[in-house]
Amino acid sequence: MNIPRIADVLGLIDEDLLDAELPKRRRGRTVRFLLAAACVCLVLGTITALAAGAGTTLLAKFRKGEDGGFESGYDMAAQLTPFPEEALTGDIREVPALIRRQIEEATPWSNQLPNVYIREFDTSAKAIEYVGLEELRPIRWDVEETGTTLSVFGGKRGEIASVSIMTYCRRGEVRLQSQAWLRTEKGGADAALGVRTTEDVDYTEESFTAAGGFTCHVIRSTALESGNVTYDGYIVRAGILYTLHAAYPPSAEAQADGLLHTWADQFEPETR
Amino acid sequence: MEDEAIIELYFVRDERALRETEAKYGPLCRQVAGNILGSPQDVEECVNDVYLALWDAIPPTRPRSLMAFASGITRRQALKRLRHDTAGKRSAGCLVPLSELAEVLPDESFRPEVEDGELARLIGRFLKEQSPEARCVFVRRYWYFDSVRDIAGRYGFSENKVKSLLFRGRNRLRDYLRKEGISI
Repeated sequence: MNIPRIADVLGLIDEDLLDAELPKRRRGRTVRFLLAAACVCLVLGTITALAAGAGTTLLAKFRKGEDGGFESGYDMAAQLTPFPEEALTGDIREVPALIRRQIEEATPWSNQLPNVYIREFDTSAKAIEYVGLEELRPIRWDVEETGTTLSVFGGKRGEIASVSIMTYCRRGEVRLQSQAWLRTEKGGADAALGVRTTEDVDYTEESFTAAGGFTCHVIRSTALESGNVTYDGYIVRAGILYTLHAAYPPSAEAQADGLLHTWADQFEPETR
Repeated sequence: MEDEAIIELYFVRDERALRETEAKYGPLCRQVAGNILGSPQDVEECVNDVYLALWDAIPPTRPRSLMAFASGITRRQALKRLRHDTAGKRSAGCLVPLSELAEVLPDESFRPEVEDGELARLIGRFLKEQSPEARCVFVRRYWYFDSVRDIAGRYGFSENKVKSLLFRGRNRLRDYLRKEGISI
């Protein structure tokens, strides 16, 4: 076969093959995902009572190696307060119609989940304004925000089940992701959060009392291949789960820990 | 930015889509084009053509994988440019890998009825049956046109191991095509 035709033939192979990578080459990125509530409700049913205090409970952590690659992670349960959808008073009220349209126009080869509406904002304040929930408060601290992603998870008829606001920021050598996650009555109260990394790391659990008198739950990881260590801070206030993920070189630990306390001290004592 | 968000920007005709694509996949597109085209100027022009093609294609297309979609367009644009400039003066890094494959794929002078799409489907099915190592090395060599040294570095293999995986892969592909009724 002549070379130009070989080039053409190979250009037609299934795109899925182009994404393939070997496990050992995976980068040490941390992937967060929400477990389907239906899958964990039974577990949460017995865990909820333990969640009092911090508002979050470490369910399990694991490390496993396979084919030269590793995966480590842990699962966290949180007890949230479901909000009525009417409590979301901002422009987010347009989202159910947009999700319905996404569902109608979805195709099998789409790489977007049709029931998830995603929108980028320049600042977290604009995203919070878009949601328009009184209990959702901006974090005021001296960090450089580099972008905010709003994700709205909907039901089959577009009704809002949960909302996530993820803000990316940094200060010096510390890279941060601050997230607020709330559920509506459609989404329910019991929530689970899975944290995964494609490296062999271990996690340790600790907590401290923030200025507001409530507990901040912290999970720290050992060093990634990059040399960075990480922590995830968890706070449930006014029924909303707030998380802070940080990655930093060990030399910046004091600064990173200072940011964690600054972040946690932003939250006022429970009033709702 | 996540792919879904970038694709949404294309759909609402927001030019930030191009900046985000450049930030996320610009290096990959340059690598694919660079493996095919010799000159840095050609690579830059090719990548600019890719962005224009993406802008024209999305919408209506909604790629399953923006990475694969952008890579595919880059590859086609680069090969098109290579054919246009095929005076022979330019270095064509893709010729060596493709010549390795020429001996295991059917000669069109004997099997003109075998269509490109059918052959691509069979090669794709063959690759999905291979080990992850063999599949990834094959794709990097014959789709992305990576050098043996680059593949070895990418996966932490010795160059001999890469050559061995490619050699065995080609032989298995030839046997597979024969079983499917496509003899060489």
